[in-house]
Amino acid sequence: MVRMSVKRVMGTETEYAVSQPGVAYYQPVQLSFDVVGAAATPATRHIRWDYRQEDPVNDARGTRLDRAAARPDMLTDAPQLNITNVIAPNGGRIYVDHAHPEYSAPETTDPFQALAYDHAGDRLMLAAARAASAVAAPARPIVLHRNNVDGKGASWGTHENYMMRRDVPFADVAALMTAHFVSRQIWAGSGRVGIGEKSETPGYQLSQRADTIHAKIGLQTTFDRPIINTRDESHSTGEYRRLHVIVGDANRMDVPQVLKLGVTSILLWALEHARETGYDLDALLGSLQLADPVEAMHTVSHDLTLAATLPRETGGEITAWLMQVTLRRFVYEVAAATLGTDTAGEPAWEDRETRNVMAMWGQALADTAAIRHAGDDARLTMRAEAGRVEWLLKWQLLEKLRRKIGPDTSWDDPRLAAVDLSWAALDPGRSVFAKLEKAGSVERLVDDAALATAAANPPETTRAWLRAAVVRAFPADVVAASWSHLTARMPRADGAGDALPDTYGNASAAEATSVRPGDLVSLDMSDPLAFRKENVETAVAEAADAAGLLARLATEQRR
Amino acid sequence: MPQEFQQTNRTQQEQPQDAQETGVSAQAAAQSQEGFDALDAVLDDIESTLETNAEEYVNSFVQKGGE
Repeated sequence: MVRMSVKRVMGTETEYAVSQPGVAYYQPVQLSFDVVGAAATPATRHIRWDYRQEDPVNDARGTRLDRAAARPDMLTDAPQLNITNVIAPNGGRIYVDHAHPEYSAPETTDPFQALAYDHAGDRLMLAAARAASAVAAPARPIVLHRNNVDGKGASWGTHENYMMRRDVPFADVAALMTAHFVSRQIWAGSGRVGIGEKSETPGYQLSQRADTIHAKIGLQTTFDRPIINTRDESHSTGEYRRLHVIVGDANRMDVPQVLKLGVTSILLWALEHARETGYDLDALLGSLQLADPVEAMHTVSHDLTLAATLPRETGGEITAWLMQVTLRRFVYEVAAATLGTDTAGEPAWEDRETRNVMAMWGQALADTAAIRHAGDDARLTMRAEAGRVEWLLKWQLLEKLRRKIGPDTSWDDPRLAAVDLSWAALDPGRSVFAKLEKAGSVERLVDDAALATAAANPPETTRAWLRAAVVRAFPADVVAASWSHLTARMPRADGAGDALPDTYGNASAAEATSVRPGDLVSLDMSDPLAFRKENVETAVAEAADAAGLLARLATEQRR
Repeated sequence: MPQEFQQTNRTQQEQPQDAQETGVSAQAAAQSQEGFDALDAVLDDIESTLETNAEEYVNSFVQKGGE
């Protein structure tokens, strides 16, 4: 994809909070296994996740962490043997990650498609939680929330992934993305009651996640969390890396979710092409370099006025809003140099998705400018803006409630925290967000029909289509799957024994102990675009079994 | 400050052309007009539940760290 576009291979990962109201001392790990187990079907239950391609100690800065020095929870390629993994019908992955059920959306190629597959995961997970409850606890249902903090010190992640060119120096990626991640909170935050990791200070802030960020850059995701995560595990071919973003909020609204994906993607495009157009990237990065990005992350999130100034490394100061304006101008200048402009001065964007994201980014800056210049009473009446800015709509609901209870009500009133929590509940019957969405208060970019389609069917533009098609057509043959590989068993004569070791698929690349019995066929689909529907549908339609199909595709790929 | 207002105007000027493509502004205005009183309706709807259950709901929501 060489066009100037928001389109690139991307995808999201969402960890859900799992709880069981009414049960004292519920066990999140066990509940997570219950939910994930209920997402499996009898036909697909045996399929293992193939961890051999995972490499969690490889650092994008060019070094490797000694495995012995890694904390055990960083070694995601050495899972417990009883971990449950499910390949979702749409080619995504549902699994247990630490103490949370997680949905990784299938690989997609534009932000609107990624949004649909991200929120389709809410449906799959809600269905799984209901199925698990029906079996295990009909009277005390298992409940999922899509948020990032419990207000008592625990935090869990909502991740974005972007495939990008590896030849861009990682220092440039880190510098540009630090500026973006700190400042995008003004339109991306989903809002949070409480300040501090344990909500030590009463109040409201823009972001769920900001207070849990304590480092500028690093490999870790579960402690001392960094703004820039350096895990270098591309799940792709050698010329690409995967930018793994861990600072985002679990948005429920469509607009901030598409903006996070689309704006980050177009910024990466501009970065990939800036130097070849003669753009002075060093001057841009210098002007956006903050004296203390971690503190700025917290400052921006805590500042409801949107006016806080952030000290710059080179002197002077800048607001988050002005940083976003600067980043948008950067994209326009690289685009104009690359594409030329139309009579209105707008770059000649080559696809509708890019035009839309750029327009929505402009709208987000107009919205946040209007919010900034409004007092609380005026903000309570900002209807259109609140349909697009999640932290504002949540704040309106909470502020109305706070005034209703009594104007002196403190932000640590449990009723406010309860509404914040209810915002995140997946079950529409428990969620205030679902009620507002149903009432039309929220601008939607995908409708229910599109979400149902995305829950049941894979994207056609990536290898996720082949993964889902093979699992759907030949579930009994499939032994293991991962983002980049599919492994199937050769058809056997009746009565032949099953020689497959129980550890298959659990061996890690880092330890080079993979087993590959002779009756297995493995397809390397590292190129995320090569196995999209149009390239493989004929082979799938003509296949008699999975092993023959994978062997045929492997042969065709070598030619 | 003048620089910021100038930027705001620019982003707003870009809207008419782009809005045709996204339908963003018109759609939002139509939706929010009827949707705004939804805030009060939702608060009325949940008020009694909040009175009795808020504290337990919040206190019993205890997670372990993730990712």
